[in-house]
Amino acid sequence: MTITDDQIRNLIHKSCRFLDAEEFDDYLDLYTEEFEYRITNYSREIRREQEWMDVNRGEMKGLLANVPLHFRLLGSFMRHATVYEIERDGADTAKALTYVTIYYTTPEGATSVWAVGRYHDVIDVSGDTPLIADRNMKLETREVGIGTHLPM
Amino acid sequence: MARTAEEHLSPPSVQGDAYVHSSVYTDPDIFGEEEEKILRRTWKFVCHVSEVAEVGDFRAHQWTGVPLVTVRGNDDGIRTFVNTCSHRGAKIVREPAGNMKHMTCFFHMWEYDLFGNCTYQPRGEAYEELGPAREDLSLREIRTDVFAGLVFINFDGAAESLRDYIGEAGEPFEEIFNNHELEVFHYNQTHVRGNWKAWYLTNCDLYHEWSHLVNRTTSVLTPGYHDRPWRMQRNGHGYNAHLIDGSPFQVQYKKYKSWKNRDDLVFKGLAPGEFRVTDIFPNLSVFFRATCIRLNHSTPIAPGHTIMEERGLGIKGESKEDRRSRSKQFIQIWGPFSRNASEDCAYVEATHACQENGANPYDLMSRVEYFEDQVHERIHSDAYLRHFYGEWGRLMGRPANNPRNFMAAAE
Repeated sequence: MTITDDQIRNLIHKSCRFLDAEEFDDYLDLYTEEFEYRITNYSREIRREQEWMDVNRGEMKGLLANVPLHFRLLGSFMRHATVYEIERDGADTAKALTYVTIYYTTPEGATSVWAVGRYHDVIDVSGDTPLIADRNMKLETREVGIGTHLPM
Repeated sequence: MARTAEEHLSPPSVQGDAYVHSSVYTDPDIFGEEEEKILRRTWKFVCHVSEVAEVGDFRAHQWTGVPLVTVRGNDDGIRTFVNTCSHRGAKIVREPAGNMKHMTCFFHMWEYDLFGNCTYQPRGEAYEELGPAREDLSLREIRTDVFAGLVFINFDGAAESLRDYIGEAGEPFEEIFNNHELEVFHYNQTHVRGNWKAWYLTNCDLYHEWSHLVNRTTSVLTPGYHDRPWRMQRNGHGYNAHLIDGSPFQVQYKKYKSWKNRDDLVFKGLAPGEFRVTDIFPNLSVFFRATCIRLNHSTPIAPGHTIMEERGLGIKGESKEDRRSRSKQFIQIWGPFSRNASEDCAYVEATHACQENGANPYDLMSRVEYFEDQVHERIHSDAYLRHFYGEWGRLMGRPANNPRNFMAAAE
């Protein structure tokens, strides 16, 4: 069965919705067993690429399991994603480029743009359903206030 | 029974150095005086030498509202200049970092060399009649020096040398820094709605580690945690580096779900998992977590506005795999998506929100936890906070517990 571009788009949109809702188990189910996840950016201050999050499945699972136990930023995030490109990279993988805007809403209900960036995804299309094998959330934004414990 | 308004506004019934008045965090006049009496008269951290490694490498920054640029010159010396053109005062260097052969003002294209000399003015002969001469138009230089690879500046030309200023407070980190050729691999800055002292003192108030899940699980309940003394140093510095018997404090990272202990990639001079922190007055903290070095510094903008800066150091030339491991461990604890630093930002903003409207009139720092010797104070003592405000009071010429009344009396 060939995975369609619509299935890939749906996968990426689900990854946003599940994170927005903090449905972490469903979110993790969208990834392969061996996935890697990074949040990166280019620092104009030190003139190099850098990582702000870098986790594999085990580390992501532990991180998300501990999130409710942490003192953290109150309020909620909403991710708005537009898939710009899907490129087939052989029979088993595809690459997807997605522009993402993340809105933050305070507990009092005020909303602002929190960050913008791009998902650079490698999608495993070898099975019946597509799965994210590698995600690099490349942030354009480098000032994220007090920060968050969540992946983006 | 809850307190009345009068009781709430009355000073705490403790000795005078065990609390400060919240106006030290919110009063614009006090902030302005701090700029003059503290921030422009003490050594201020700028960057690591690796950020200006090559001739022409520069870092633009600011201090007490003054735009500055630190640059490595053709003679390999590192200098700092006020980053404003001698002509009409435009900011010259506008990028945060980069490499340049000379400094060119974008307004009228005046040029300065890396020693700060004015070397070119388009149609410069038009100044021959009225002047000034070009040699009188060089940039203002700010005193700059380096300690263990850390670049500092001081607006006060008469201040003691950087090495004398840091003194024995450099012991916990100087040797380790000099054991390696280090470079910055992580940087982030955050505009915090809080006072610069509140940010810095969060690094020195280790009692708050109860609140961090990471610190609670990996450190606070670990044997030896409470057996570390604060070591106060002159000029307001201090550190917390070893147990009272001289052995290292080793954090148990594996106690946090999905993390591993830090036994590999440990910096030479540290034990596996070892934690140390050194606080250099007025606002640089140097942290070790075995495999990670953190430089935490801030730029005060206004009483309730501080730019917090975070740097992570690794070993220059280490393999990609080692760098990735080191970076992963650094951002687990420090960084915008970490388990610690983002929580610290929230603490500072939460306290400032109550201080700026008078809801919390006093900041209490009366914890005392002595060792059996009744001299050294343990990790959760507020000893360093009192030490900091002792130096603050010395430089400001007033006690921090009653700064406004002191001002009024002086008037």
